[in-house]
Amino acid sequence: MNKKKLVIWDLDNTIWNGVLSEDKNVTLVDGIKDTIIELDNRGILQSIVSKNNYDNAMEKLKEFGIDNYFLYSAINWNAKSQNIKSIVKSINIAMNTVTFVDDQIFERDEVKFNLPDIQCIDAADIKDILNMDEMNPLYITDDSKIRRKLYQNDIIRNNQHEKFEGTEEEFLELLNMKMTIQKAQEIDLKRAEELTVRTHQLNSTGYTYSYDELKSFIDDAKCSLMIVDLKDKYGYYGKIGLVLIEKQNDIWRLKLLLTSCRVMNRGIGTAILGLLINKSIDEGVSLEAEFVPNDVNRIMAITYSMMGFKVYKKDREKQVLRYINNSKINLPEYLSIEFL
Amino acid sequence: MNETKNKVENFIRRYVNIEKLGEDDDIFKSNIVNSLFVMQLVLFIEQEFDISVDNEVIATNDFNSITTISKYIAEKVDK
Repeated sequence: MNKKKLVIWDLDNTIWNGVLSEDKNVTLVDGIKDTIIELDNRGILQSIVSKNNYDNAMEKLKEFGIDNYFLYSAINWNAKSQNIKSIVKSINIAMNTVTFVDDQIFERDEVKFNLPDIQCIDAADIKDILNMDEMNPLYITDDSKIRRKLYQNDIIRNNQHEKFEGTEEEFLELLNMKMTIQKAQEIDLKRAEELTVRTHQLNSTGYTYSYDELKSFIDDAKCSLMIVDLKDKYGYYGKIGLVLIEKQNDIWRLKLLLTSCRVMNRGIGTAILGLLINKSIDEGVSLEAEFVPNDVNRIMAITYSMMGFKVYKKDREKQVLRYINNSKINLPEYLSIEFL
Repeated sequence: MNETKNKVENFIRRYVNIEKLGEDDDIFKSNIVNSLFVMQLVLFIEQEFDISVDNEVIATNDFNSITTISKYIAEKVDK
């Protein structure tokens, strides 16, 4: 069973007792606030889909002191499956990592019919949620604890982006992004493992590594495990990239390159690759990269192709690509890069 | 072939903000496009023309401008 990244709550007779439009004096369901806070601590995002008046519902949530825990809430009279589709698209995760909680079977049925991969839970079973295996991530990292805030920063950024009247490049320049690439330390390993398990689209090989395997790379002189983090004027993005290089003779082999989907479209993967290409040229070594194509990581194949990598060897599903040009890459000017 | 060129050009123009895009200009030079856009372009071409685009040809001289991209499409469609 998949670990869940998002829980979507109904309001009436789910988060609170009663129906808000019939009686303003609804009360929170026993223990629900603790459940919401605990899920938040575990790095699970939360949202609301409810058939209610938006302003009245938000006001009531503010009164209960929990409005801030929910992202992209859709409180309107549209079909719940449509709202859910929209929310999941905004967050950019797979539907099978989403759970929907509602007291009404016809709502759960409507959602399940239109979105068969989603998990639906009856509000009557809320007290079991925290114990469910799907709601217990393998690790809780520093990034998990601030995950909601990171997404909230993204929402502000995206709003600014929408209002912005200029080119994409001009917007990226205004963000004042600073990327840091450095050798992973032991404290980074939980987050590194989380990245290998959670990241799919922007993951060149899909290999997952355990904490212990990653630790062995840190201790191995022939390996370089690097963690990438990013911040901009709206705040921190978290540790959003992982690079594993194996160095043998005159060849650097990129065994793993992954970046969090949250930084898609910032040119981060391309910047990391560009930096590695330039370093390999400085050191006089060849740069290779492993690539395992799957259903969702084609964008990585395209990125490698665009950067000047060609397929050099194939071994069943695994491809080895090689950077074939002799020239350095011009790194994007809008990104300040610190390579430690 | 002209219809193909027009479709490709129109798709690129919807997403990319450049006044003077010549049909022989290399769209992969100078940060005009990023990988996310290229992914969308490739998917558009595959759906619109019912062909499959080889990942390895992307950004090479056979697939880097409106002209060469259209030529690649035409050749694949003929097969």
